[in-house]
Amino acid sequence: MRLPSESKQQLFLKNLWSENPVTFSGLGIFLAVAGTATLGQAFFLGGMVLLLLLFNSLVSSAVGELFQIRVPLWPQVILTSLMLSILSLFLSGAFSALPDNTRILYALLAASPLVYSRSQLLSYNTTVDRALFDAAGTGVGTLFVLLFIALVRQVAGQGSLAGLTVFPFSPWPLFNTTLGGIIMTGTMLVIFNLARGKK
Amino acid sequence: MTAPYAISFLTGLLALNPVINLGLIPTAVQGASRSHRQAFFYGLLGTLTMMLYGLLSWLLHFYLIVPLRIAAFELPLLMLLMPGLNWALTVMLKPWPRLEQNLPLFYLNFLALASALLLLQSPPASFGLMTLTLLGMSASFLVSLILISHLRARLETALFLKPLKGWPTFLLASGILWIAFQGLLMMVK
Repeated sequence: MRLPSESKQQLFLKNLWSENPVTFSGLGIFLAVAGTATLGQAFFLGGMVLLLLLFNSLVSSAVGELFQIRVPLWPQVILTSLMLSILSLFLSGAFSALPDNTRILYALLAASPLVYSRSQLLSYNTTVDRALFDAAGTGVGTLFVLLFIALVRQVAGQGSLAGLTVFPFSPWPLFNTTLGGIIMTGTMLVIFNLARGKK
Repeated sequence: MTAPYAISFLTGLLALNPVINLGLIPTAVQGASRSHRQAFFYGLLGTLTMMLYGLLSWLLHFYLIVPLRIAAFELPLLMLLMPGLNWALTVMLKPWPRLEQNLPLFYLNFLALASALLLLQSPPASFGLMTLTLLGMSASFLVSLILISHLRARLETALFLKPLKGWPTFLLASGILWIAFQGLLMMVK
């Protein structure tokens, strides 16, 4: 629960770890499973999530502050999908360098509850700076988890990292498949549940 | 003569299941697979939504987006279809409250968009092929959801570990199903 007394830093850190959208609420699970085949893909999709969260929270909090109204979901969805479409015109080079399913996952962000969660739950009811810290925590938290999963998958699945050879062979090629994403995400969640249970 | 139709159905069934094969697991599916009954009704509604949305997307693609060459704006147009589809489903499902009460779980119809995008990635050229691909995808969704709910029920009672409850068990069940679907796909290939 968000308390009015929470500082901006507390909002940021809470979403980064204890209320992480992948490990806590599960909103980003689809990205963790399908969008972490390579580090590049994870960085690209995580970066887009961060950008969209900041954009939606900025719009929602600015409209909330100026007009004391909450931006309805559907206009926000259409605005986000328009933004994604326009951005994709400049990103065709990036798509060709990333795994095949990146384009579908990118388009799916327009319908992902992850992208609208902060703007619909908090941003419309708070100041612009607090909303941006909250969205940044959620986005950076998602990005970190995606990068961690992708790092393990890429090293285990391909035996290389950022062009450098870590293993001369592929230690576990299964990690290149969707099953690798499912296994890694499941393991992450178990570790998170164990860490949370100890507190 | 019937080979292309059979291939379309099998492609939808085994290669284009958005829940398992691409790992596109919407949060709602995790919630809906906690009990067999809910999984069945949610699966039926999902099947209906995927079919309707897939059909509308295919028509939109071939009769508006391709002729007008506005591929860049396909996504906003697909998103515009969603409120209409939601409204239509609410009206259509009034006589079936068991199905209607699952409608809010289709938050933004994430699953429908996933299936439409998969379909449009390499769109079937004819209406018949498209319908069969969609039928395959929908059947595969329904079957996988029911199987996941059964697997979860067994796994959650068999493993008494608390940290495995919820998402990890769901992912474990999805992983098992993914292997099964891959096996079937290999056999068909």
